Amino acid sequence: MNNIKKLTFSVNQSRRVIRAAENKKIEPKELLKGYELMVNILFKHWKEEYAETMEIDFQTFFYEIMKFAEVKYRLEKTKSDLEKIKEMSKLLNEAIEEYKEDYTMLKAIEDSLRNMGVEWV
Amino acid sequence: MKLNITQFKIRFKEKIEIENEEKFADNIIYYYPFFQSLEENELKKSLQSIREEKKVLEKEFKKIKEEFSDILGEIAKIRFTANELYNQNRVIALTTGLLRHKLIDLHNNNVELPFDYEETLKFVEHFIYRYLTKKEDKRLVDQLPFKEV
Repeated sequence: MNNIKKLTFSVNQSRRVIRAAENKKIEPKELLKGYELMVNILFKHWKEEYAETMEIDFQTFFYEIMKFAEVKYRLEKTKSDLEKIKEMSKLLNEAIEEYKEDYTMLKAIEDSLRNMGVEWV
Repeated sequence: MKLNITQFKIRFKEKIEIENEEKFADNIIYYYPFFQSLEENELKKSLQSIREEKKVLEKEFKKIKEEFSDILGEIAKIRFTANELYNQNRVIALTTGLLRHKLIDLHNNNVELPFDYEETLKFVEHFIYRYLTKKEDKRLVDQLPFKEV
């Protein structure tokens, strides 16, 4: 176990930070501030609740909370995707039904011309 | 050539005890976006209730995934039909154009038709514009999230 007050990101990790900031359209330093805030909040919570008993160490605590956050985030995202995709599927089904009706009508016009003895190609 | 390599650093308010710095840094980057979706009161919950809630969410997630994969199957079928119709449209474009031409021809030659000429012509033209020139029906045209593979 190491006690740290400062954390240095490796070159590869720093590149990931730059990419993540670009995706969010913010400066990397803003993202880094967010990281600091996140760790500070969680550490404070851990210290208040678990530091004394050491029921769980900070890193495992951090990991458990984050796993929960990930599941929650993915669930919400999948739910909203599902709604969108349901709506789209309904729209497409309706469009295809309408097409089929219109096509049947077109065929009927063709057939009645044929029945009249109109020459067809 | 000088390579510009940035290595970011963050500082915490207090000394933090961790086992593996590299792994911790990885986790910070990976989980931060998820952390942002948490609400303040969730951060105050006990670990026990977080664990229980996670189990419930995971169950719901599993159910939704199943529904999702069913609907994707349904959409694959729709897509198949839409592609079939698209191919069919290419074939009927010619005969429909011809049908319109025949109708006008018959009308000009005063041949009596078993249907209303104006309405039928309007319908045929509607069909052409809507499905064959893809001018009108945005729903079939866009086919939205489906990207051609």
